[in-house]
Amino acid sequence: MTNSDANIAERASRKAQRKTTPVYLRTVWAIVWKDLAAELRSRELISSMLVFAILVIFIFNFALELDARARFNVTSGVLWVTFAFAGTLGLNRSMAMEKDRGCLDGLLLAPVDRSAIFLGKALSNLFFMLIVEAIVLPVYSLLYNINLLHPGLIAVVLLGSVGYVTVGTLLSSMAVQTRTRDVLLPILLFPIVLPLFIAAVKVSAGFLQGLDMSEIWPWLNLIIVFDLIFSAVAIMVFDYVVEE
Amino acid sequence: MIVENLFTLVNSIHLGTLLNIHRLQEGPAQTANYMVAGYAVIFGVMGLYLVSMAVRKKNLGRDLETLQEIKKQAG
Amino acid sequence: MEAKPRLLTILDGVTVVMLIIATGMVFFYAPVEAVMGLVQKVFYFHVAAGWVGMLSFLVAAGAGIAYLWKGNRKWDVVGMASVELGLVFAFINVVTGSIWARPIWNAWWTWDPRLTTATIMLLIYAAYLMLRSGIEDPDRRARFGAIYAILGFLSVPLTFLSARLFRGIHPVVIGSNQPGAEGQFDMTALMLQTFLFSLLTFTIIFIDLLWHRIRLGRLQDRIEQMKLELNL
Repeated sequence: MTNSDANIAERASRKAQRKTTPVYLRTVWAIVWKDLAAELRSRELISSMLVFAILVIFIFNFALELDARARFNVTSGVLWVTFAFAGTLGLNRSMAMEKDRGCLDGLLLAPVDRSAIFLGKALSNLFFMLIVEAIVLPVYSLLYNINLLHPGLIAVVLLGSVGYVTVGTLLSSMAVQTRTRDVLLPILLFPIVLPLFIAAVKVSAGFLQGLDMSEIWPWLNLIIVFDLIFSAVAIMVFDYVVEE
Repeated sequence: MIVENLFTLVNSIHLGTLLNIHRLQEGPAQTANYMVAGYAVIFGVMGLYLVSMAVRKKNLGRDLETLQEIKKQAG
Repeated sequence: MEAKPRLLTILDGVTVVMLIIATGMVFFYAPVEAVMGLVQKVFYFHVAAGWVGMLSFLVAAGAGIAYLWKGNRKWDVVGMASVELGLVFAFINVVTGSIWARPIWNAWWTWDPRLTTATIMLLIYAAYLMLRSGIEDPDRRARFGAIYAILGFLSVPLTFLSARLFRGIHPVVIGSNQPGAEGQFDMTALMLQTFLFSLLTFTIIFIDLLWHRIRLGRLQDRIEQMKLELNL
């Protein structure tokens, strides 16, 4: 029972090895599939992230008095703070589950590339975060009667989440192995993702206020550069996070 | 007594006079206090750090001695 | 305890002498700035401390890469020593900057790119120490420390860039002339000499303190090792 998830993963990867797709991708897929299956059964991760996100928006509503004029300026900031907080909640939970069920150790014993484990975890974390965002955006639009489903905004939410989740997965896999655990994650994560956060807020605000693309591009480039650098580095150093 | 005297002495020194920069009112802004505060922070923090290093070193030295003694007794 | 190397004793002496000379130059050699007055004298050591703060970040990241690559514990000691020094000097930098800003910008704090970046650097250093203090296994502590130092080093320039895209009011004393920056001043030759000498002095202070801190770290390691051997 303790590592039933690891069993699922093992079975999935064994089944996968019989087919012809490269082993690496199969490993990644097996981990993603394991996480999704576990989430489908318990639904605790997405539901807690979602409820938390809605609560944050409600708190902001009264804290900032989001009338029409204030909304024009702060909507993108409110959105990204909501995503960042809900994201940390999810990242912490997702890694703590691995650790508590002895699942991480099981995965590490498997003769697979460590970076595949990282990619699998990052992809499933990204998936959870995107689901929450996909629900929060229309809900916010509904609550405040503005249309947030702008293609540019959706693109920046996607790009921003990629960077956030990449760094977050790496740091949360470190944080769960310390004494202070969940308290530590935001302290480690926020100063590192700050440039991404600033840029994401700026780009979102730019799209919402209909600014010219020439004003948005520098920020968008910053997000892309951040994503590239940190994905590469995270994959390179993940080996050392899980080394025994 | 001596401390008090020292205190009045320090208080009586006017920084501007000391550094020979008496100027007319239209001269540079009177910001000597901020300069003193700034340098107090610089030397204060560096001094504190040095003290902390010295204390840690002393404690570690004591630990090492104790450990060596235990080792001698055990072996 | 290891005997203190001769070179270190000499370096200690040089450091003290240089610090005295630099202090003397700041107060008696460099002229008083015509508009800001005496507070401008904070600038020399303020920038020098900021430079050391950045330098220790570089050293910590370099030591992190070396540790992950070679796995030699000495690099972990270097990284830890460097971060601690960085914390001290970055703190001096931010606080003196704030003291300078009060009379010049009329505020203790502004959201200027450099201020923001320096403070984020400080927070990353603090997070590094908190991360390490939560781990007991020395090997894991070293690995995680190395990774975090590298991540921080990569993120800080991006923070600076993003903060800079917001327009800043911090004076750019060296390099580009940014008209309208409050607190801008032209350095006279004497000021420039004092400034460069302060930079050099603080670099030497950094090397000296780093050496001492590395020796302290090695002693710490040795004691930890002995405790393990004696099963304490």
